[in-house]
Amino acid sequence: MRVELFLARRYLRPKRNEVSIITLISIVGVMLGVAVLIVVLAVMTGFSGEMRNKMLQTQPHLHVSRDRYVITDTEKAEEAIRSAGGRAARMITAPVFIQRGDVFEPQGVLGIEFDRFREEMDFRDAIVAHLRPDAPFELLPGEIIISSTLAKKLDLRLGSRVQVHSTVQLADMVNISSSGKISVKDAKEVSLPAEFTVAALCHFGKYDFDSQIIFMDLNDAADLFRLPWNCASEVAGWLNDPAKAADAAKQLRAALPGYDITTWEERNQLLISVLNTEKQMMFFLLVFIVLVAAFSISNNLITSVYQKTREIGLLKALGATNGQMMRVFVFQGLLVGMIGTGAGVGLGTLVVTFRMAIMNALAKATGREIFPKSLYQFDELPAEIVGQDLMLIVLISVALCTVGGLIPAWRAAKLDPAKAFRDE
Amino acid sequence: MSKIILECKNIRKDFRIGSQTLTVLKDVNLVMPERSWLMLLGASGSGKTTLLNILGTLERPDSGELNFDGRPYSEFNQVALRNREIGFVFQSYHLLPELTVLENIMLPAYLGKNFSCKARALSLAERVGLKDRLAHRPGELSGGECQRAAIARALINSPRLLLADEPTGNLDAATGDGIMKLLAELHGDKSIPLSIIMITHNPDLAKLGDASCELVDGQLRKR
Repeated sequence: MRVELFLARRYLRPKRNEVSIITLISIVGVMLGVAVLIVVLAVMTGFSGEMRNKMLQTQPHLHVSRDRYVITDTEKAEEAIRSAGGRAARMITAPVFIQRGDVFEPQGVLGIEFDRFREEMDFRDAIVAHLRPDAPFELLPGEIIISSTLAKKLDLRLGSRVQVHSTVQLADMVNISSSGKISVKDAKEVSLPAEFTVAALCHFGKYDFDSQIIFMDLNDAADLFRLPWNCASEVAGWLNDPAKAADAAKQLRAALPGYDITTWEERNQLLISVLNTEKQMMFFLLVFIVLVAAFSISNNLITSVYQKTREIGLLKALGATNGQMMRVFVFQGLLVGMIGTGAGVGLGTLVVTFRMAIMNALAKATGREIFPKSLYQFDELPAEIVGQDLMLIVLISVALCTVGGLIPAWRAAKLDPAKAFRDE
Repeated sequence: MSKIILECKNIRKDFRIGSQTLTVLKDVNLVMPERSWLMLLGASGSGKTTLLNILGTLERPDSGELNFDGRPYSEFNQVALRNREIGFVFQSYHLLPELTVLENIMLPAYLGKNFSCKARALSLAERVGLKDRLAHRPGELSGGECQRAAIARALINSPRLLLADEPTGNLDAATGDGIMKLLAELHGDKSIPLSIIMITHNPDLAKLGDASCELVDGQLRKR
């Protein structure tokens, strides 16, 4: 192997201090392919991870509900969640309309037990401002928490009063006959909207959640939707390890027959599978860039074999075996692959590390927002380089480049030395 | 009686060009004693290089018998035979431009997996007068120096047969004389049991060998 490696290295660097331009082009091709693979997969992984984190920050790991019914005996469901190793809290979810002057905004209400939800949903970090800054925030009856996004949209500030129309109240005011005719149920009974004070502004960094959800006390929500106090539309559960939600759900289904048990993964199944499939597809498609780079190596080495016909003939005349000649060119592919892959890993890592600076510079140069927050729901481009992905990229790239050297290597090995001299 | 290092019997070689067959060698017979120096003459296209290639295992004859050191060529590993027992010197030197003089000299030894050949390479380089040019690359040498390096390379594995195809063909008269003097010195060295077959067009140079033959109509004729 020593002489083959020695010759391969010399062929890649024909002059004392210079790498040949052909070698350089091959290396750059592999480097770009690997860098693109690393950057795209890192962003895909980061995006999936960030989506997962946001899902877990804004959603319970387990949901216990009853189809069409509220849960009045919540203690049973809470106890079942605790038995499955989780932490439980009651909540009421329902749609409302927020009225601010003449403006109506459809929103979802999360009626929560704030003491329990505070830690689970990480309200400490999410609350950006509140009415009582000298003390830790507590959600009191008659108060709501809205996102800073919604506040900006409706021109609301801390202490602002907003009217909240419950859809249950609205539904109670009208009668829809079997023929579809709509009439007022009782003109004398008009439900007025409930009034709440904006006590805190929050920002979870998940655009759809921030712009669509308002939080209020569980019993305020019960009043708003005409439910008995201490009931819940759902009992939420959190686990130390969200990945074990499926196991816990299995336990709950056995303990709570007649209840609907869903996990955060089931509720986001489509999104999770889309993200996973998207990453796999991107990997598959982007490997073609490395494949093209490997073809480029093959092409350059074939050219090299033709250019070096006389030298190959000479080496065989001097006693080089077919195997040795083959290895000289396979090693060239391997060396170009290793150097290109190494450079690609470096470049890819740099781009991932400085992605925001690069994006800001691009945005400045083009005058366009490269990563619109409203579209992607994140404050910054998420990215995470996973060791397993990196290893796979490195292995595939080096293997493809080595295979790229096989055709020219085979041609070199088969070269007839006498013919090589005659054709000179 | 000296030992026979090389023997050819009825060697024939045809080349097919399209539908035509060109017979280059027919019925070539040669017996070469060890330590002899045979000069091979002949017109261009007479088949001298083809014969040298066949003797050096670079080409196979279509028929005939070839023996090296009393054994048929077929009994040898052809690659090992040309790496260890046969040295080549070409008219165009054929040094690898990517390697230094020293690396070029050591190359056949490296190919034969002998990595402790540096001392011999240095000694050969000194002998051919390239001691001060070891780190230079072929592009930085004169034609005569390149040929000296090629001769040192041919001798690195201590071959018993040296095949030289017009080694002075690309050199001026004075440099060519120097190369011939070097070959004569090496051939005359009793410590090296070297036999030489050399192709030349120069009848004066042919006189330097122990014997000379001419290839005419595909057959060897003694001169």
